[in-house]
Amino acid sequence: MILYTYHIFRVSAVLFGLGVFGMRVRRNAISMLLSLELMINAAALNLVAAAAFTGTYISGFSMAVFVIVIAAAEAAVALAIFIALFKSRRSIDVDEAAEMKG
Amino acid sequence: MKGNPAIIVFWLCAMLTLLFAVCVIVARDLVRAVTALLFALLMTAGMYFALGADFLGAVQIVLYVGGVVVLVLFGVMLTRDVEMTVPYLGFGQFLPALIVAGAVTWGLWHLADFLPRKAFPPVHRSVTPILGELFMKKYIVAFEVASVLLVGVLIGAAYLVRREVRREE
Repeated sequence: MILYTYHIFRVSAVLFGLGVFGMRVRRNAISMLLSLELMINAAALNLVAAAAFTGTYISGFSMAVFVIVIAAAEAAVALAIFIALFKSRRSIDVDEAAEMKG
Repeated sequence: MKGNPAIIVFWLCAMLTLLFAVCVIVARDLVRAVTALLFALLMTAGMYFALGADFLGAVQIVLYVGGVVVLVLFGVMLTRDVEMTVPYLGFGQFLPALIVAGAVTWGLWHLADFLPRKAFPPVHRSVTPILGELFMKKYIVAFEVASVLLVGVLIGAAYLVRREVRREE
């Protein structure tokens, strides 16, 4: 078995595409958050792959740590918003929360 | 090159990640989708281990698999409607989604051809001690900003959820 950089980039491309598809096809806010996690995961995997195959890989790894930290913070805020949304209208369907649509 | 176990582990984890990602997308039950996401993130941690990023794999397991997935599960339980199943959309929504996702995947897939090709490096040393030193010296500002951000996020999330409770009383 062989492994080149572009193999990993392609794995993460498919993962990102699956995230985009789930984001587009679902209208439940939590399902969309799950798809978003998949996309962030694909981006972090790309960063790790690019870092692991070069000589200065330590910097890339530390950037990926920050990506994971920001993703965790974003998930916490998103879930707090979903719970507040659910309390005000008993539903987390994103099509129903459209008052701010221009 | 032929029998490198790290490469075999990588391909196994990569295929399982994609399989569980498909499960996340197609699962009707929200709890099942979150469980599939848990395994997808766990397999991504396996890929990190295979690539020699041992610290990152540990962070991925502790933060994502242990933290975010439990958080999302609580979110699912707290916002439960009559049933937890999510309805599928019709074909009219399905086809544009397939086109958009296919275009993005095609573009990223062929973008990989323009990047330099490198074979898998045979051996890695452990990066954790060097990473810890970097966080305490070179990236100290980013490290501190990240911790301040996390505190702000904790307070903000608690405030968002708490205020609605008080208003209902």
